[in-house]
Order: sequence, then C-alpha cells, then structure tokens
Amino acid sequence: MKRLIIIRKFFVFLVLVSTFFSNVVPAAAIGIFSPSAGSFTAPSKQAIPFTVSAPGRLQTPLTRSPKPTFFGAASSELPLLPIVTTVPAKVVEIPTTVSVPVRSNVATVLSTANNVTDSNGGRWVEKIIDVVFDTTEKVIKTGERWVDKVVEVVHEVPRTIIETGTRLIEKTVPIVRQVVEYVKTFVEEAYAYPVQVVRNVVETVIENVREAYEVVKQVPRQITEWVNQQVAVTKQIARTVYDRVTNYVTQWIQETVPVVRQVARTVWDAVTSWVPKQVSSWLGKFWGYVTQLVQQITHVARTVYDTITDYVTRTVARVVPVITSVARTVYDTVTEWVNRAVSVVKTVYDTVRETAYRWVQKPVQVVRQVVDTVWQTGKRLVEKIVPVVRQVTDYVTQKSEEAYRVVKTVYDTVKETVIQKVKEVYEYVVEVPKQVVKKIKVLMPDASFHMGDGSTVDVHSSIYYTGAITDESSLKAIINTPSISPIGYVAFTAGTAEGVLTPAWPALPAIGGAELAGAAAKVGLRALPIIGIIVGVFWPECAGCGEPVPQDVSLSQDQALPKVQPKSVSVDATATPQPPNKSGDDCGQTSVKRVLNKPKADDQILQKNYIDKLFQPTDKIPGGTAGAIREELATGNQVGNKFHSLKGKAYLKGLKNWLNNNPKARLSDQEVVNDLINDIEDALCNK
Amino acid sequence: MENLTFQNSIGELLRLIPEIRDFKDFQAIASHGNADNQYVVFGVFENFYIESFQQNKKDLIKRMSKFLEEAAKSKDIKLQELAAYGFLENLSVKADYYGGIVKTFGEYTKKQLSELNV
Repeated sequence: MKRLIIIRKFFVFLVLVSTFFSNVVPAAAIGIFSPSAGSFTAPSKQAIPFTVSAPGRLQTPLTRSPKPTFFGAASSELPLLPIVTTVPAKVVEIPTTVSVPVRSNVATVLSTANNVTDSNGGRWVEKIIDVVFDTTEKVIKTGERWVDKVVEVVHEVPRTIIETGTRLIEKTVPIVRQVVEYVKTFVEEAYAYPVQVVRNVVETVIENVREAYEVVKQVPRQITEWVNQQVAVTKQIARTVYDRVTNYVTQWIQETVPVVRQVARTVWDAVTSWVPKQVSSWLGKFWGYVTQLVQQITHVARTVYDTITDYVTRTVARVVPVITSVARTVYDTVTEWVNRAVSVVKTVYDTVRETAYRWVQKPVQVVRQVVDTVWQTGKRLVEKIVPVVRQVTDYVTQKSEEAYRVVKTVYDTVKETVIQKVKEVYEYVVEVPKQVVKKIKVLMPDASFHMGDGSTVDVHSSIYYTGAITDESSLKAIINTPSISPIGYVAFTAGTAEGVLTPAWPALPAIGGAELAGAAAKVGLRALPIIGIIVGVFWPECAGCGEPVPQDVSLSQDQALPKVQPKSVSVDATATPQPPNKSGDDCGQTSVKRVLNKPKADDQILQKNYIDKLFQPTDKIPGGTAGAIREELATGNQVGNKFHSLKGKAYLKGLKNWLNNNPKARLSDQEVVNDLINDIEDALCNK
Repeated sequence: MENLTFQNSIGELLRLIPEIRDFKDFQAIASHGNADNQYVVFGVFENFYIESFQQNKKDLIKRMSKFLEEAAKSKDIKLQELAAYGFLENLSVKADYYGGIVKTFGEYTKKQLSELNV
C-alpha cells in the first residue's frame, strides 16, 4: 500500500514535471508523445550542459590482514589463509563536476554515460576504471609480494632446517670423531700394555729356557766326555796289562822253548850217540816221552797264555760294558733330566702364554664389547634419527608444498577474482548501457493518474515489455505498446527533461558492492524514478530498488554524486570467483559457497550414495558435477552430446529429499548437504 | 526387455534385477524418498554392480551388464546421459576392480566409457 502511494506520488511528480516542461519549454523543443495517436516526435538534440557536484574524495580503505603465522607452536597444521587482501588506502579524486550533453531519448542517454566528464575534461568512467585498475594492480602486487614472502618463508624453512642440520652435524661429527679417537686410543693402549707384558714374559721365559737348555745340554756332553775318558783310561790300562802279560808270556815262551829244545836236542844227541840201538828204541820211547812232555809244556804254556788272554779279554769285556753302561746311564739320566726340564719349561711357557693370553683376551673382549656397544648404540641412534629426520624433512617438504599450493591458489584466486571483478566493473561501466539497450524489462507499478492531455491511465505492476531499446524506433515500440504507453510517455517526457536522466547513468555500473549499487540506485531514483525501476529490474541486489521516491527531489545542476566506498576485497581461499548471474531472477541473490573438493560426511549412506557420486577422483574440473555443469555452460564442451545438468538436477532433488528425510542428521552433514544444494542450484541457475 | 527409456529405466531395472531391492543402499535411498530418482538409483545400481562383481556373481553380473548395455545404446539421449553420468562416470579408474568390471561391459558401454575418459 505504501509502495502504491509512493508510486502514485511518483507519477504525480512526473506529471508535474511534464506539465512544467509543457508550460515552460516550447513545445517545439520537446518531443511529445501522444499515446492515443501512437506517434512519436523526436525532441531537439540540443545539448544543455549541466554540472553535478561530487562530494569530494573516493576512499578505498582496504585493510590488510595480519600476516599468517606458519608452524605455530600451538598447532602444526597450516592455518587456513585468511586472505583479506588489502590495498593501502588511496585517495582518489572524484570528478567534481560532470558535464553532460543532454539527449532526448533513452538510448542516447545510455550512450552518454561514457561521455560524462569532470571539470578537467577527464572521463568519469575512465576515472573509475583507472581506480579499479590501480586498485587491482595494487592488490595483485600486494598479493605477489605476499606470495613472494610466503614462498620465501617456505623456501627458508627447509633451508633453515638443512643449515641447522648441517650445523648440528658439524658440531656432532668432531665430537663423534673425538669419542672414536678416544675409544681407539683407549683400546690400543689397553691392548698394547698386556701384549707388551706377555711379550716380555715370553721373551724372558724363552731366554731362561734357552739358557737352561744350554746348561742342561752341556751336562751330558761333559759326562760323556768324562765317561769316555775314563773308558779310554781303562782301556789303556787293560791294553797295557794285556800287552805286558802277552809280552811276558811270549818272551818267556820264546826264551824257554829254545832252551828246552836245546836241552832236549843235546840230550837226544848224547843219548843217541851213547845208547845202543836197543837203547835207541828205549830212547825212542823216551823221545816220545819228551816230545809228549814238550807238547804238554807247550800246551800248558798255551793254556796259560790263553787263560791270561782270555782273562784280560774277559776283564776288558766285562769292564767296557760296565763303563759303557755307566756312561749310557749317565747320558740317559741326563737326557731324561733335560727332557723333563724341557717339558717343565714348556709347560711353564704354555702356562705363562695361556695366562698371558687370557689376561690379554679379557681386556680385549671388554674393549671389543665397549666398541660393539658404542657401535650398536650409534647405529640405533642413527636408525632412530634418520627416520625422524626423514619424517621431518618429508613433513616440512609436504607442508611447504601445501603452503605453496595454498598460497598459489589464494594468489591465483585473488588475481582471478580481481581480474574478473575488474572485467565485470569494466563491463558494467562501459558495456552495461549497451546491454541495457539490448534487453530491458520495464516494470509497471500500479498507478492511476491523469495524463497531461486529460486522459486517465491505468498502470499495472507487471512486466509489459521485454525487448531491446536500441534506437528511437525501439523506444517507440515500447511506447506504442498500448498497455505501457503511459510509462512510455513518462519516459519520453522525462527524457526531454534535459539534465535529469544522464547523471544517473554513471552510477549504473553498480557491481562493485552493495553500497555502490545502492548509491547508484539512489542516484538513479533521484534522477528519475523510471531509471530506478529499470535499475531495480536489472540490479535486483541494489539497495535503492523499490525505495520510496522523495517527491520533492529533483536533480539540480549541482546535484552531488554519491560517495563511493568500495568494500575491502575478501577472498575465501577455498572458493573461486563468483561470476555474476546475468539472467534468471533467482540466480545470484546471495553469494554461494562453491564446493570445490569432495566433502566428507559422517553419514556413510550420504557419503557413498550422494556425495561420492557428485565428485570423481579423476575429475579434471574442480567442483564435481556442479563444476562440470558450469564448465559445460561456459565452454559448450560436452561429451557425446550429453550434459551434466540432468544429473545435477537429479542429485539436487535427491539431496533435498535426504535433507527432508533426515531432520535428525548431524548438523555438519546437513551443512554439507546444504552447501552442495546451493552449489548445484547456483551452477544450474546460470543455465 | 521393453523399450528402455529414461522414464521407465527404474521400473525395468527393478524388474530385471530384482535383487537390488534387497541391497541396503537401495533401501536407504528409498527411505530418503529417492527410489524414483533415476540418477540416485543408478548410483546405487553401480554400487550393487561393484559388490556383485567382487562377490563373483556371474549370472547377476551378466544380467546387469546387459541392462547397462541397453541403456548405453539407447536412442534416448537422457538415458544415455543417465548411463554415462549416473553409472560409468562414478567408476573409479584407480580402483582394483576397474579393469575387471570393464571387461564385463558390452560394446556400447565400453564406447561410452572411453568417451568419458577422453
């Protein structure tokens, strides 16, 4: 109701304005449209310059978030990067006056937006673009600096670790070397001392044994020599005795035998010569007797000789074995004694050696044990340290990569967003008027009022016309539409109100933020309500849409431009830039959080049968099915004449059903589902 | 098999593969009110296919493969899309079973799958 009253007031205002112009401005100078006649007279194209005062400065107070801290003490997790990129505040001069060549139809008015200039002749649109580009550049540069810083930090971390590790190793290695040297020295000393002792003992023992052997070895030789000497003496004595006896006997026999023979011969001769023949037989007998006697004497002498010889021989033979036996016994005894002594010495030597060896072995074993223990401990230490170092290295590398990726993503996102925003702003600043004339919806508010010609016009709040206003003829088409002819009349009449419409248009590119949009709408409304309506249709997010129009507001030549305060640029690191929805009344009403990566739900049925189906591990485009829909819509690329939109719609419905049928589901799951629903809806919205 | 279309795909699936009714995922989505949602049902069908393959249910696999082949070679574009994005797209190339399952597919199904993987 309130709106109706306002609209009525608005139309009354328009009628008053038109009446004013009808009265003041000569009819020839103003285009007049007669709805009943359906004809259109073009207004004069004479431009009447006017100025609009700007409030002063445009400020872009973009604040920068504090630098994120990596590897904080409290948490090893990398923080989500709160990218509220900030550009240092800059004061931009707003054109203080705007000179607008007033045209008399909407299409011309739209195109003059580009011609709005400040007092210095600078184009306001260009100023805005400059500001936007300047801001963008600063944002990008800030982002680059920030990324550089982070990359530097990311590079610095492993470098610091490596340097620290190197320093640690440089400190540790000499210590380890010292320890090794100490152990080595200790082992060598410990080994050398008993070895030396043993060597000394062995050498002493060997020396003593050798001396003993030499001494012992002398004993049998001396004894043998003595025995041999004694034997020789004995032999000499025996031989002397034997020789003497032999000589004596021989000499006695030699001396006795001739004598005996001579005697016998003499006797024989005497007897032979003296005794007759008969006697000779007797003598023969006697000779036989003498011969027998001689033979007996010889035999006796021989027997004596033999007996003596035999006796001497037996004596010698008896003495020699005894002497030999004595010598052999002495030799054997000495040899046995020596052997015993050698055996004892050997035993002593072996005992000493074994004792020394055992004595040496023990410290050697101890030393070996110490060395083994040190080695094993070192090995275990290394085995423990190496995986930890590797883990740390891997962790740092991974975190560095993650940080780098996050930063890169943020940077790319910021860059992309800013560029996108700039493009959008540019588009709205420069291209929107063109777009406006390509497609326009005129919303007719409910109203009923008397026109200047005395007729009554009924106005209804519905869309009467959708089409392009590209030139006068298309405008005529709108105006000639019977149901909207009153508004066409108003538009025309307003269009002839030079200096009214034009200032509104520079404010139309209201995409940068609500305030800007609101301001734009406000200006538009102040400038001319119909512009406000158009703005309201095209920029439904504008704050001024549908606001009451102050009846007493009229645009004067020093009408002020609004203060423009762009919001700080805030980018969600997990989100991608949001392209504006350029069609569809329900699209883009709110900022939709895009779900780029597959979310995790606690409900496994939800996860397995809904979420997993929307995101594939091999997805080339982030955002799952919603991302695919967006990509297909943006590029027109498809697979085998097939699109993802049906799937998107089906799962949209499926998720909504899940939500409705799981009112007691975990809030986190509900949130996930809601995000997915919004994301898919948003993707489909652009279709 | 009746002339298979996007509209009658669920009915035909349940008629030809009645075992799926007892599949817990199907019961779950039915309880969510999605038993008539072709894409959600085909998603469950895919889970059922994989599970049956892993359990080596040859006869069942044969019937399911035939049904999928019918959908893949259908002239109904929506049904083709359903087979492609409701079933084939969800198969994880990295899964152990992928190679084995693909071997069970018919000619058209394999063709669709290869188009998806381009």
